[in-house]
Amino acid sequence: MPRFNAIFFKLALNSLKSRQGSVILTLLAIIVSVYVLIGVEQIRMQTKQNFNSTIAGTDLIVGARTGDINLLLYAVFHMGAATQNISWKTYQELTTLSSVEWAVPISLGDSHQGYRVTATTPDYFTHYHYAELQPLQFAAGQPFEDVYDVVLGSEVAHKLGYQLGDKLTLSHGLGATSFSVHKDKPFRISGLLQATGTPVDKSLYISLSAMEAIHIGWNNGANSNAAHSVIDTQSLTPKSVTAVMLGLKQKTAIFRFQRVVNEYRDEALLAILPGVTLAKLWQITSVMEQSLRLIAVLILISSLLGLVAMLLASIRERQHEIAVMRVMGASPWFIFSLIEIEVVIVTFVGYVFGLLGVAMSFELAKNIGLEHFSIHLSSNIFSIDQLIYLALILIAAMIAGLIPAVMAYKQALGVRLD
Amino acid sequence: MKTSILIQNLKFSYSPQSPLILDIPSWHVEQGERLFLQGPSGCGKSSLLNLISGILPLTQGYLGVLGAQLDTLSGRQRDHFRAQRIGYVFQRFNLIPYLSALDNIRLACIFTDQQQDSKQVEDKACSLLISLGIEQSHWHKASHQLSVGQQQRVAIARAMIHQPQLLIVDEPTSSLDHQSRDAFMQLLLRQVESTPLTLLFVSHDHTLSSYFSRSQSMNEINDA
Repeated sequence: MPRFNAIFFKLALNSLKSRQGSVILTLLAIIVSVYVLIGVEQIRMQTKQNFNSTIAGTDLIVGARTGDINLLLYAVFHMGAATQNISWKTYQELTTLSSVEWAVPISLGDSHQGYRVTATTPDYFTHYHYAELQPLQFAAGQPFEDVYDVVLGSEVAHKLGYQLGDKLTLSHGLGATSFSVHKDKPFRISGLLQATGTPVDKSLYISLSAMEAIHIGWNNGANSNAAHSVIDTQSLTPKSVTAVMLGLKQKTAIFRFQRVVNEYRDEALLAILPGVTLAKLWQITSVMEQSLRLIAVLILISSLLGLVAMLLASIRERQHEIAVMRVMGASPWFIFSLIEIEVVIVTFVGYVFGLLGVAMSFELAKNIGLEHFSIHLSSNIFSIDQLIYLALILIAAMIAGLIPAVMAYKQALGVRLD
Repeated sequence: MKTSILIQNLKFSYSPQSPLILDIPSWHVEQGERLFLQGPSGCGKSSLLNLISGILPLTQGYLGVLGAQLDTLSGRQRDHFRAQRIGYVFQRFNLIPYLSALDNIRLACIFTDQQQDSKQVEDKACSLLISLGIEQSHWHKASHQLSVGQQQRVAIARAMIHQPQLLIVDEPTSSLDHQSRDAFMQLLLRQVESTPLTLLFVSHDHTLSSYFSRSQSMNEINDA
């Protein structure tokens, strides 16, 4: 083996420097491909992480019997609509069960300029957690107290430009341009939540009684315009809720409790474990995930082939160098190693710049990601995983580099001095 | 007196079908000798030098160089042998073009097994370059920026840094003009003057034979 000392690296570096033009172009191709590969991989991992941290600390979500993904979609992501509700009686029975530590009901159905309204109890703000058990935090104000108080998620407040104390009206139904507006009952903004990167940012929160209050006189989805200047708060107990979030006293009881709910006699119910169903939902995206990955890998391969082509073309013009090294006593293996070390240097430099490029882009796109896509991008992408990628990329490069290296080896072996 | 190169019944061709290029019944060079070997191009000179330096493997005959029997050594062993004991100067393209004069000399040292510290190599390289008349301002320049004459002189330093016992010089002056040719010859001979090394100088130009104590023509030794 040649001794890999300073002069050996100097030889490789200067050799690359002497072919600057083609080396820089090849390097750019590798930087771009590493950028795409790591960028795609990071977005994939971070969105997955984001997605999986949408809800935490809630042991079970209970709704009327439907598909588990469907229940998760409408109860947590506020997408789609529930076909059935749970009766208020059932909800109350659930809360009295001994293993239940807390229960937060939610009621859906109204919206404000396309943003969904969730009717719930003030407990929602203490029990809803996301990421690693982070609680919701108020940027301003407090939870709703009065019937006509509303709390806004950060995106709603930013996009629509609302301040604390502003008044707004809700629409019946879910369309952005609903024709039936609860005009007669304006809400006052009592609190603004901080950004979380979860569907909470896109929601408005009111009390269950408010939900009842604005629907008084609404039968079959239309305002009958009945006169009701005075609302008796006593009569504002809802008849049903859309879903219930549950926390149990003992985590070990989750599966037993889930079965109890699923076999509930009086009503057809479904209880899901949010984490399990989130993972199941994520599986749906796996085809896209894999194809993105595949594209990134193909781009990397093509850039490595570019590197190989560049080196192959250089071997012919290097015959004098090779002869000189041979006459100094360099073995063909030395020449082989020289080509491989050049491959490693170019790939390594390309990797470093590609990685830095991704970190910088994420840093710049951080705010855009959170505001527009509710994706919490982190520029802190340096981890052990990156070393594994580096190793894999270097191995791929060295395998590709075998082509010019073997050619150089043969050239070295067949050198004639004249 | 010991022999430096000893050849017996050497026959060489590039493939079994092609005609013999070398057929040398017997030839030797004494140790410490300065021999001028003259011959036109195509007379088998380069093939002989390739064999002596161990670049080409020998197929038939006996070839002893500096006490080693080259026809029995593997390719790897011959590379090793060449790195340690032979110095070689080509007609041109003697240096790695993108390395400086000093780095070319340093590179030659990594193939030898001698455990020299870099300071020692540095000192030796510097004194060689000084005695070969290379100005210090040229030492760190990429060697392709040097003139051909300067490159050839650096090549001598590169070939002699590891104190070889045999120095092979192959048409070193053919790309030099008349004046630099004489200067080059004088520098080369002065370099080897006080050393025990054997010098094998090969050229088609017989006017150079005046610099040497003994000269031979290729067709005197080669029957092919």
